[in-house]
Amino acid sequence: MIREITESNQMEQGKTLQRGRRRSYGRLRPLGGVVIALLLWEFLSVSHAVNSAALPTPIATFAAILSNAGKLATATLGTLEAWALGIAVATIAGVTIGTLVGRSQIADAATETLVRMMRPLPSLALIPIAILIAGLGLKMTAGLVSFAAFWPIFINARAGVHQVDNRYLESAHALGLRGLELIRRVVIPAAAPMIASGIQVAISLALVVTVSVELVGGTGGLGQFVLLAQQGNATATMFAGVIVGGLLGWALNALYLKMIDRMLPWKSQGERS
Amino acid sequence: MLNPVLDIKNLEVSIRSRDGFVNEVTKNVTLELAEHEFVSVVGPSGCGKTTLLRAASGLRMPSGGKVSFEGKPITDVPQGISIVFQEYNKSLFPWLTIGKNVAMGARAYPNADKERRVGDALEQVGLKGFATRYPWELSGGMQQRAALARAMVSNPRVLMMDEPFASVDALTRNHLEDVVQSLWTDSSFSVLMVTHDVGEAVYLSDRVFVLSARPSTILAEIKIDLPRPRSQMETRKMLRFVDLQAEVLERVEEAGRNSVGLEADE
Amino acid sequence: MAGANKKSHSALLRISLGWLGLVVLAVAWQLAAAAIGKTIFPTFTTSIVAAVHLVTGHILVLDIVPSIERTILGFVISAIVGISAGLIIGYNETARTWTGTLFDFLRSLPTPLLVPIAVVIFGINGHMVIATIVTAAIWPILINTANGTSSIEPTMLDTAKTYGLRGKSLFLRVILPAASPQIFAGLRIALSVSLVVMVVAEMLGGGSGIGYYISNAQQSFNISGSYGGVIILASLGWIFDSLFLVFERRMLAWQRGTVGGMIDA
Repeated sequence: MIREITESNQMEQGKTLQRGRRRSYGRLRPLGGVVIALLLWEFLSVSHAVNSAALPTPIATFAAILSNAGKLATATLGTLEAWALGIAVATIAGVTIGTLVGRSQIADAATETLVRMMRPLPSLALIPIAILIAGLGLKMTAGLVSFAAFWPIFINARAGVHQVDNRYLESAHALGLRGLELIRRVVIPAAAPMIASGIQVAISLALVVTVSVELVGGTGGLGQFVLLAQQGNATATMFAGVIVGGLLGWALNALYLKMIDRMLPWKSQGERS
Repeated sequence: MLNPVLDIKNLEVSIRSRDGFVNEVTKNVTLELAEHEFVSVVGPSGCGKTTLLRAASGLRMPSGGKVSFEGKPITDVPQGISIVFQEYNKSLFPWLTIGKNVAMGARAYPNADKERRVGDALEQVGLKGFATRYPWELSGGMQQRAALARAMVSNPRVLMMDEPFASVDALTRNHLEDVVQSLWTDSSFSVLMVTHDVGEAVYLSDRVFVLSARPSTILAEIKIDLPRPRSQMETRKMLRFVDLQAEVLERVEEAGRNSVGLEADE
Repeated sequence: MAGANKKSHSALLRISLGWLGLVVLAVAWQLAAAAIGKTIFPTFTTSIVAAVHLVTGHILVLDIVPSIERTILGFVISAIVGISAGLIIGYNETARTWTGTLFDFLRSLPTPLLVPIAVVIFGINGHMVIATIVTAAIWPILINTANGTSSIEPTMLDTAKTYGLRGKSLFLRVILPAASPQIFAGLRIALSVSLVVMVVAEMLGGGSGIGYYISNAQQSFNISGSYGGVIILASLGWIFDSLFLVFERRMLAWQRGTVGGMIDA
């Protein structure tokens, strides 16, 4: 905080106060980058710097979003459904198993190599196998999504629980907390910031897996929407699907962060861990 | 004063926060530092001592007034001014060994010369043989001595210290005070030290300035006429020392009373 | 000395327990598959044999090596661009403000959706795979570098300025090392992201590569082949991660005493 003040002071040395104007500009500034990116995009597609068949203008893309509004809404809902189902299962399983494993030295050590192998295992490689076992459909997609999203949640829950400060545990013990109550009232709240960041990673990962399954298996949703547009050479429609996918990911993340701020006011303390 | 090494005239610093609120930290501070003089600045916490030091060293541009070093106005940290910060754990680079940290201060010298200077500086502060250690392998007091060696290795004209011993225990602090004193006695540089420890200021200094609460001005200048060399055991027992300490303390208390209700956020 | 011995002893115990966990899983897989006895669920040994077959046969050169090359190249490009941009954005508050919303949007884009676009632009080949990897792997690096840079202690920057470090030498000698623990955390995430994206991009239009192989094997009902491919991918991920940890431990050796147990075992 002090450094920010220092810097802004050095930059604005000697200028007179323009409080009101400064403020209204300040709010728009974060959008400056978006505007520049849109202009650059427009320039790239109009100047034919990139294969123009591959790059529609921003305006054509927004027109495509509007003209496909109905289909896009259905596709988005389809993606959301598989995503939500997957993330719900992953969260419940990840937090429960992660907490249990993190509380036990032996279980913690025994899962170490497994975790080190599964963390970088591209769960997307399992798409073909999942198709073999479960066939195409919501169950397969949600199953694969929950498998992929399980790992970051499990890993963070396990590490978060493992790292709970002994002083908290000892004070809780002195206060007579035992067993489940100790876990519910001390261990999980203390590990919550880490669990929360695991879930944050899982949220984006789950979306990646959902659209991947849709792309590879053609099981509806935004993935299939984009794939069909590509096969029909409708590049503007294809871009429309990608933009909507980006907005969806952005909205899910923003909503989650807002929710976490409410639920874990003590989070900022452990954020760096 | 004839040709002061460091000449601070009517210094003013204001900090502007992000919502446009201008906060005056120091106002009209005038202070001269003579050749081989030891000067301390004390004041109530949050009175802007650190800001004053940052402006005096060229780390921050003042909003008014002038700072000259050897007759020339300061625009950036000049060669010839070294700074020791309070937080040795944040100012020593943790990825460099003690030797390489100290060598940072000797960047201006040719390589052949550098090694010898680093060795000398480490020996001066009693850290001979620790050049290949990393900061975390040393105790707090030793780390601060390494920071001192790094400041001394460039042979500065002015050594500035910002609460240099505030992060160590009382015994280590006494020891470090004497390390600084003997470095200063054996050499010709001047010292400008900011501290909240009145006893330390009186023990080490030739003159002590008391800053008022924000926006701070100089409230008093007290000449310390204790004989040198000084020693922790002898000097601190002297009646004159006790009197001077009481006098400085009284002025600081006075400054602090006026600042009640002001936020200390330095 | 005795303390160090004891420590390495318990570390050894931890590692062997870790492998034991994996063995238990393999045995469980073996027994379950044998009990179910369906072709779509081959036993662990069948899958391992298939994997060994892939590594010793012509698939190694045809698919595995290209995948490794693409992953490494995509990762390295992401690292160079991500660290440079992250340093600038982390150090310069104006740049941070201006790019905030744009980067928030770009990094929440589910990357596989970009594969069809990349196919249109680059065609079905390795370049497409590399480009897609970069669009995903760059973000964890950029964000972590920027966070690491913007949270450097002001005292440290003051100290650097006192010793006359400016511009390039300030970045290289102070900001980069000070932010390096966080940069490495970002790099490690990016490495596994690179692997994930490599697979899906190859499935959708790599023309070759391990992802392409797995998806082909499934479509031609070469079931043990696709299981073997997955085992190879898991091993690749583990090897990449282990190599990375060795590299990280060397680069961040100075950090060992400053943080408690951050670098595991």
